[in-house]
Amino acid sequence: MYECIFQKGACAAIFALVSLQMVAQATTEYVLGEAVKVERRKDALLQSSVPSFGLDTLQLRRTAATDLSAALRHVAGINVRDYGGAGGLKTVSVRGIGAAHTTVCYDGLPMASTQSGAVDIGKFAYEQIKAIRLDIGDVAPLLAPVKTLSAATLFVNTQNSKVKDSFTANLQTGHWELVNPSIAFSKNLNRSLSFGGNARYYFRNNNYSFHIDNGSLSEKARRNNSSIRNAVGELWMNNRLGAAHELRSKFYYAYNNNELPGAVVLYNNVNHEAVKDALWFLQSAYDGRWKRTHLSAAVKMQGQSTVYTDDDPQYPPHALRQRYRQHEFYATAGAEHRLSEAWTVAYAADYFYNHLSTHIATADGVSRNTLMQALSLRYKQKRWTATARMVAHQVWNKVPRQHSEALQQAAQGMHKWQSSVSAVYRKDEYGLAFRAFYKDYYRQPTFSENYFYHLGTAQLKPERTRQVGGGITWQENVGNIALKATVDAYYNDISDRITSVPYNLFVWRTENRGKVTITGLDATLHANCRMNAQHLFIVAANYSLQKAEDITSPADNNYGKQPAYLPQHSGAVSITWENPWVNLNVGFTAASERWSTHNHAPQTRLSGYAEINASLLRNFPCGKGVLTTGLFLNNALDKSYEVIRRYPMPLRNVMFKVGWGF
Amino acid sequence: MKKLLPLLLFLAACSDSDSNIDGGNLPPVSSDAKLVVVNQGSYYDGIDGALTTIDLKTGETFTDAFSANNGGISLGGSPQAATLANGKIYVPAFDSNVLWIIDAATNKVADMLTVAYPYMVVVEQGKIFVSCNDGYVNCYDEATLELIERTEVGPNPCHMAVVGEKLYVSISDGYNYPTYENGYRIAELNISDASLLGYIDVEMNPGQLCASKDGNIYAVCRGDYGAIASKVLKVNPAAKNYTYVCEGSYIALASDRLYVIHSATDWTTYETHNYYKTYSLATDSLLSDNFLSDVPLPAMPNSIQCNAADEVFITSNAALYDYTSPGYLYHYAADGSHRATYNVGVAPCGVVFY
Repeated sequence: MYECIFQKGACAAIFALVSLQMVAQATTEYVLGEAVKVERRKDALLQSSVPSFGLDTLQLRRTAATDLSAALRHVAGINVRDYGGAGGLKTVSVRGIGAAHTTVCYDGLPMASTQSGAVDIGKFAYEQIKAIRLDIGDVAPLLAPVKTLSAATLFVNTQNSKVKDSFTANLQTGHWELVNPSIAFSKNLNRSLSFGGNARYYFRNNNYSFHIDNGSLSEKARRNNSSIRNAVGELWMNNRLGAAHELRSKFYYAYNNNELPGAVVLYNNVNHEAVKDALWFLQSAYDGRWKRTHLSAAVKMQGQSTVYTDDDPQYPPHALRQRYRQHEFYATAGAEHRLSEAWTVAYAADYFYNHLSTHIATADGVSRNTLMQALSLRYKQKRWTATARMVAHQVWNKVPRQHSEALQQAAQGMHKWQSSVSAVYRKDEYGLAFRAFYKDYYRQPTFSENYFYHLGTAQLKPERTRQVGGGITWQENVGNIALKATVDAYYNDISDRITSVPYNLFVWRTENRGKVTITGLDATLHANCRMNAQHLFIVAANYSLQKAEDITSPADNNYGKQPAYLPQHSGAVSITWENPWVNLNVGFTAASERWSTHNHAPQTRLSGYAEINASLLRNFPCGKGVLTTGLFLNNALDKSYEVIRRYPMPLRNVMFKVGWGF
Repeated sequence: MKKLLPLLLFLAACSDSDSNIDGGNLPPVSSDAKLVVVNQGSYYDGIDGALTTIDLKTGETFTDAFSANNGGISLGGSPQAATLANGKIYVPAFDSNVLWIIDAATNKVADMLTVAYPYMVVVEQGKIFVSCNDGYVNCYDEATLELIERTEVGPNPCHMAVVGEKLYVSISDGYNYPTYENGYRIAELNISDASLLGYIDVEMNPGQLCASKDGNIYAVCRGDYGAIASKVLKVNPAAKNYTYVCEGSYIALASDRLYVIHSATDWTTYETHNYYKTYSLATDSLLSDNFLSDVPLPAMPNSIQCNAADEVFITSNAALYDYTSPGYLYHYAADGSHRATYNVGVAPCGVVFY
């Protein structure tokens, strides 16, 4: 009964739209009665010369995830370190090369990570996120902030490209006293000026049950000291200065007051740790385009204040209190010019100023100036696109003059050239494409690695990562099924690895020690099947193979072993059935066994895990808007597992969401 | 925690044993036929502690005797050096807030107490004294296990030693680095009522204490683990003063001599060397600056003890700065000759002879 018509090109005839349903990314669909027309559309991510994986608003919903960490498991190549459910620290590493090599951009500009090297993605308000994208090895635009040209870059976007007048209010509730109200609005004041904002509050006591494996005393226990209080507010304004010029500005403030349950310790469920954290930033980005020239510039100021406490009588005077305050000023500017039909050149420069004040005398008042410049060249014709970049990365470190003689040494600076080349060949406009890239990248040591008492080392060299990769992308319509698939293989080499070595219980030293190689493969598949006007099935799957080896020295007992917390196999599948009654999304994620120690100590093996999440979503017309309802089931099989050893993940739990908006 | 005890007492015990002596010949039988090694594990890596039993006559070992004899349960996090008294082995599991009381004959749990951060146990005059890292020494009745007294002694008390009717406790203030300003002292308690009598001033960050037969206490003051070196002091508790003996990190008393391991790191080159020395107890003079010569040496020693026959036992991590691999127990004769090396658990920290 189903008649499918395929037509290539963007100028397909448009049929009357009878039923408005969700639209797959790779295709644009028009439905007339039982006839389904599937128009092929270019998927920009599949045309990229480097691996680029993304989830838009609809795809995020289809993962059935309730937080960003769970959603990111549906992105190939990503390894999320999750220290235990909501509120736990969550960091992202890509293709086994460490979280400090991954730049996290929030609404276009990078988040500061100079102190610890990794951004806690668990702090972002998931309900406000419209899209995520991971670029590995390079980013698609020729003109981009230089900081985003890192080994991998995760883009988290909360704004759509086009602003509509809108208002939404949501309330989420569920297990462990979850209360999560949020509102968002946007308004076009006139043709050039629009503004908006959002606010959320999140509370959860989070004392979830988990399974303790302890021989004959194995039991179900409950986390303690786990509550989370989080408030986030954002205001933004977009100013379009003519058709080709835009100024986007945003203010962000987030406050977290979290108890920390810590690692599970047998027979002892008492913990007194807590952290209060305030993060703010103000950013403004200009983008202007002329016929052959593209200019962009942005500034960002970011501050973060963190206070860690442990009200434990072991510590003098009966409590431990640590404070960290870091500031970053960031500016980027660049220009892109099309030299000819085929050739485009771009230059961009980033400047960072970072400062840390802390209770740790050796790290108090330290600062860093960073200048990154990138010269990029792109050749593009119908079938080929090739990009080459050269990046000059310069770092100057300073310590305050009042530091004592012993503490006076500033960390070693950095003056490095980095390069990357990438190319994609498209066999035809929509079908097969072949891509390959090479990337050389240096990671500067963090303030912790340089300065922290009995840990940091000023003489550290930057950690070097070399990535080589190649892959095939494919998209095709087969009957009424729109298919997309990618397969990418890669080889990564990390040298001068920055590692902290414990010389005794109290004295550690951070050293350039070790070399790791990672060979891997990422594969994705997306199938979109329109059965008729009212039923749509979507299956999305990703699989990653990562074979990493520590090859520092055959004498080491780590030699040849997979580094800690890196699964060899991981993947995810999401299945969606959209229908007139209630939309069903099922997400399945899994990872193979891992080890919490580099030398694979027998007690530190972590079993593989699989988790299933599911959601039921239904919208109802309500007044001038739409009432949205959702029921989310997390860890549906009630499986006990750990991503990080002794940080158990929550067992089966339910969340309910209701919202209204227009 | 006591509700777990009935279950523990009925747990079935079965385990395969293994013989893992380094070398083909069994060592000569010493006066101590059996011993128990406490393995700390690694708290940061999620490796629990364990007990390894070794029969010196046969060389038979149980690498995880506690779990094997108690239904597979874990000893818990960061157990400290154990104490044997009246047929019971007392093992403080520091991070788990548990004091295990184990029947030495069967290796089964006889009882368990919930104690805040227990560090060391001394059993004397029908009382169990436990130094607790929250600043107290707890005193329990040995028969009933009732808490008799909880005496505040100072920040981060750790090792204890008995001289006559007095209990001495090193006050490290070890969580107050780099100054350790409230430490620098040894607390003196009356054993009869656990009352605090006073303090003896010593040097930075006192730790291990060993009481000699002549009423002196040899104390290791650990410095700041960095530029200020660890040293051994001879403390006269009667006169409340001390004399400097040598640099040293771990000590053990034999009948006539003091064994010292000095683990020294050059903080400019970050190279670590271990020195094995002996001193005369009678004269405090150096007997040997290298009593372990031409024998297998521990890679990363972290305790030294002597049995009644003056044989020397040194526990060691598997390799330098390796905190997650199973370590070794080195057994030497009194003259320093090597007798055996035993495979034990992760981060072995002490031995009980019985």
